[in-house]
Amino acid sequence: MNHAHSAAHYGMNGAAHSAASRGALLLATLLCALALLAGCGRDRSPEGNADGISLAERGQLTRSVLCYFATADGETMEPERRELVLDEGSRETMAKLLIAELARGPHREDLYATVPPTIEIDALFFDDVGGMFVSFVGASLLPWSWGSSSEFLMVRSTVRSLGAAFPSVRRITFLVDGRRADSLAGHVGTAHPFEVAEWR
Amino acid sequence: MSGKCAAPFAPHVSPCAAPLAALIVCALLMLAPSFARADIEVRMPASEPRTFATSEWDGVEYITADDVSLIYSASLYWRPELQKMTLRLGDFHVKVTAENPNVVIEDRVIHLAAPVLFRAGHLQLPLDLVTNILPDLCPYPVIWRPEPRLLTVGAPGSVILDVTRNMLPNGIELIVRPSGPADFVTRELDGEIQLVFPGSRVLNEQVPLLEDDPFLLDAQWIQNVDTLTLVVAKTDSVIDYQVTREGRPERIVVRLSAVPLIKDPQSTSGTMRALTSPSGRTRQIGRVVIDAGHGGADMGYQNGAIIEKDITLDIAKRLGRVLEEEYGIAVAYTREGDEEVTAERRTEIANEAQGDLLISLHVNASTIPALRGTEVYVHSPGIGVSERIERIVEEATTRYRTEVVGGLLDQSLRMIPWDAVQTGYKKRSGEVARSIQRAFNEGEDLPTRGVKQGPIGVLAGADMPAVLVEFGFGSSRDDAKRLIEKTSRERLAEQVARAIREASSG
Repeated sequence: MNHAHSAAHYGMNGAAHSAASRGALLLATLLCALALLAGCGRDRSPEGNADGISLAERGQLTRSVLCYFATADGETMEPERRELVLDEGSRETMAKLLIAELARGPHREDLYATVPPTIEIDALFFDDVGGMFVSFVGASLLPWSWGSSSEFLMVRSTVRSLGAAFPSVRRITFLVDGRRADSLAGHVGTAHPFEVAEWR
Repeated sequence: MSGKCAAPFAPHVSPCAAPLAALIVCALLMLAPSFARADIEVRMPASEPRTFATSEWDGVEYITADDVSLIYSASLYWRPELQKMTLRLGDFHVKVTAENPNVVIEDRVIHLAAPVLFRAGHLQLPLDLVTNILPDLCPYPVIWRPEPRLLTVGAPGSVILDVTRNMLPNGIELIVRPSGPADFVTRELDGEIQLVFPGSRVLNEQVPLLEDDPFLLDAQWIQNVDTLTLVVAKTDSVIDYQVTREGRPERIVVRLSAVPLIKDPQSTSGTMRALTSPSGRTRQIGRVVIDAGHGGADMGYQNGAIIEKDITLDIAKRLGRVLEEEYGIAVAYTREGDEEVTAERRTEIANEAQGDLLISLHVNASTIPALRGTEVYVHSPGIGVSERIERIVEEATTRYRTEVVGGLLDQSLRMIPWDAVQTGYKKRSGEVARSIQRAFNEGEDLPTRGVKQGPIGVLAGADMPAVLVEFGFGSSRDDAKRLIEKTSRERLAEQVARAIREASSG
C-alpha cells in the first residue's frame, strides 16, 4: 500500500522530484567515489589492511610483532615479541615503531642490538607491488660500530622483522636521506632492494 | 518503469562530462607550450667513421654539446633559463648543467673531470663524458687522438680502435683494442703473422713502429671490402710468438719473443685458429687494484688507537710493496692518501686500471664483544636481484637493438648494468677469497670466520674478480691489539700477497 502510494506520489511530482533525486544520487556517487579514492591512499584503515592490524579497543590499536636480534656468534638471529601501541592504524606508523623497537635493543641478555639507538627515519612508504621503502636520516646512522658484520646484521634483522610484520611486503629498499645510497656505512650495497625471502 | 528510470541517467552524465572534458582539453592546451619549448632534433646514425674537433678550455679537453648530439644521433633539449641541457639517447636521459661538473644519467650522478662550460657560444662538455661515460650507454666506438685533437667516432659494429706497443724483457707485445668482442682468425703466411677480422674497420690506422726495432720489422692494416687484416712482419730475432685474446676490456695481444713462450691454452701460435666464442680471462693475476677502505671525512670504525681509514691505508701500502717486490705483480690503488672516495668511483678506478683483481681492505666492527677474526666477502646480489637484473639486461639489449640503432647493432652486444658485472666473476672471486682465508689460517695471527657472500657495494661494478677483506674486529680487544702492531699488519699483508700469488698460479 505504501509502495503504491509512494509510486503514485513520485508519479504525481514528475520532473521536479526526478531532477532532485538524480542530483542527490549523483552527489552521493561522487562522495562515494571520493571516499573510495581516499581509501586507496597510503594510509589504509586497520580493517581494510592486507597486513591485518587489529583494533584492540576503541581509539587505540595494538599489534604484536617479532623483533629479530643477533645472537652471540654474530651469524644467527632470534626473535623477541613486542606489543606495538599505535595511535592510528597506518602501516607506515607501525613499521616506524617496529624499527624503533629494534633500535631500543633486546631484553634478553644473550641477544645483541643490530640497529643504532640513534636511528631516525625521515620517510617510510609502501608501494602497491610488495615494495617497502625506508629512508634513514644519514646523520643518525653514524655513531655505531660499523663493519661488514654489523652492517649485514642490521640489514638482516630489519628486513626479517619488517617482513614478518608485513606479509604482503616482498622487498625492502633502504634509502639514506631520501636517496638511493651505495651503502648504509660503506660495506653492504643498498642500490637494490632486499628480497625478504632471501634474508630469513 | 525500470527502463525509464535507467535511461534518463545517460543524458545527465553527458552534460557534466562535456564541460569536464573541455576543461581537461583546455588544461592540456595550456600545458602544451611548455612541451613545445624544447628544441628537438632527431637524426639517423651515421654508418661511416666521422671525426670531430675538440678544444681545450682551462687545461681540459672539451667537445661541444652540438657535436655530442650529432655523434649519438641524440635529441638535445636546452633550457637556457636553468642553464640545463638534456641529451636523450634512446631511453637514457643525460643531464648536465653549465658550470657544474656533475652529469646525471637516470638516477646516477657521475662526477666529470671538469665542469660543463658555456664558451664560444656553445655548451662545452668535458671530453671524458664521450670517451669514458657515454660508451657505456651507446654502441658507438670512440677514440681521441691528442696530436690532431680529433675525436674519431665509428659506426656501430665491429671496429678496431687502435694498436699500441709495449716492451717486454725479451720481446714486445702489440695490443689490438677492438670496440667489443671481435671475431678474428690468426694465420702465418710467408713468415708474417696475420690477424684477419671479418667485416671490421679500423679507426686509427697508425701502428707504433720504431726504427731498428729488434723484434718488429713492420706492421700495417690492410682494409678490404669485407675483411680487415693486421699484417705483422717479425725480425729474425723472434723465435716464438703468441696471439692471445683477453676480455674485459677486450684486447688481442700479439707477443713477439726472442725466447720460447709458455703456452697459454687460449693462445694461438703459428697455427690457424678461429676464436669465435666470447673471450675469457686467464687465471693469472698480473695487476691487483688495492682499495684501502674509507678515507677523508669517512673515518670508518674508530676506537681509541684504531682508526680504520689509517689502518686500511697502511696495510694497502704494505700489501702493494710485497706484491710488487716479491711477486712482480703490478699494483694500482684506489686511494694513496687520506682522501674520501665514493664506492662507485673506487670501482671505476679499478676498471680503468684494468686490474685482474680488486681487493678492498677493511677493519670489521660489531656491538657483540666476543666477535673476532678475519672475514673475506665476495659479491652476491641475491637471487631476486639477479633475476631482476637479467630482465633489465634483456629488455635494454632488445631496446637498443631494435629502437636505438634500428638493427644496425652488432648482435653479440649485451647491455650489462653497472652492478651486474661482478656476477660473472663470482666463481673466480670465491677462489681468491678461499685462498686468502687459507693463508690467514696458516698465518695464525687471527682466527678466521670464513668466506661470506652478500651485496657488497664496492665490488658490484668491478669488471674483474673482487674480494673484500675484513682484517679482524676493531671492536675486539684482542684483534685491536694485533691491528695496532705494525709487525702484525705486515704479516697480514704478506699472507694476503701470498694468497693472491697462489690463486694466480693455482
